[in-house]
Amino acid sequence: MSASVDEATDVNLTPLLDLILQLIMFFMITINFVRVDRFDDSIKLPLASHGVPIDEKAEEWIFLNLDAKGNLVGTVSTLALDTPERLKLHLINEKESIERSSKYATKKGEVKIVVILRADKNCTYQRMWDVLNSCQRAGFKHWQLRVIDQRAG
Amino acid sequence: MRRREREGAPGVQLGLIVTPMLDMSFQILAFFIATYQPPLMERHIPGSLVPPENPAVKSNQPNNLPNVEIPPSVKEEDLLPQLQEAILIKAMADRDGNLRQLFLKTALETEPQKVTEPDDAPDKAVAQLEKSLAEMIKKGSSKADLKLAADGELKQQYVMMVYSAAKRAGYVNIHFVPPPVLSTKLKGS
Repeated sequence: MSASVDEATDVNLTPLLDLILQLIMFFMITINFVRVDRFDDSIKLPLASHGVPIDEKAEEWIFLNLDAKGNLVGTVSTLALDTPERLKLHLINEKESIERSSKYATKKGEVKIVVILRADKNCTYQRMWDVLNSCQRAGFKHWQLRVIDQRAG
Repeated sequence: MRRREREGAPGVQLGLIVTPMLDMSFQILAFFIATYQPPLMERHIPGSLVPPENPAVKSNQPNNLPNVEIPPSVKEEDLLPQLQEAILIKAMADRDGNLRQLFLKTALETEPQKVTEPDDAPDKAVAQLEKSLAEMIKKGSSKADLKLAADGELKQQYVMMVYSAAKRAGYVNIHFVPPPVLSTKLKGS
């Protein structure tokens, strides 16, 4: 009698474990650890129609996040980039660093570096231009303005 | 013999203890669920930064100019010819950075023409702009470029509303123009 009770309460955990391990695999594959600048949740992007889906063609990206007050946030927030000139110098250093590491990776030709500007919807147009001017003077040629697809928003 | 073992013979149980492994798996799973980023709804508006040393000309020639500090904008008359002829949308902001009024200026006009009344609701103003732009396309200016000149104080969300309206109206090439405040500063300097 007691043996039959033991058999009845012995739950088979193997399928549950299989399922959990599969879920873990899924999340491990889709996780993105470098989300600080790329997906800064504090930035509320403006809505826009006719935005282009994000492409992965650029070899390198530099992410700049502008909050509602026009301040640079994210990894660059620890740096004193309060003037356009300082921002320009920082961007020049970043550009040179990327180009140097690209050379080490034996890539030939010009490295396509795209500045990704994630400006908050309440950030002013002037502030966006201040940052773009610094990028321009630092020698960047390509930029993208990130928006939220109107249909999704 | 085998039958007797199955029926519960005494001895050491050598089965795998799954419970700690399951506990750990749940913890890892909880971590990944908490840090999971759903597929992005983000899109982008591509742009190019014309080299500051020669902003009026698109060229592949190397820059042999001395390294001098260049103003971050250019005069209207120095722009590319197609930009001089482009339709201009002027978006004015109020003190809070909200959309106040919209103007349009074609190459044939000397002064911008108002599209909306001051303090019209942004949605209404943008809808009116879209209608006006669509009418221009019907008249045959669909291939024309379009310049968007917004006040420096205007919030990005309104700039994007105007941009979206122009795109919906059918314009392909839309150029962002530096804010008038900056242009005024440059003219004065």
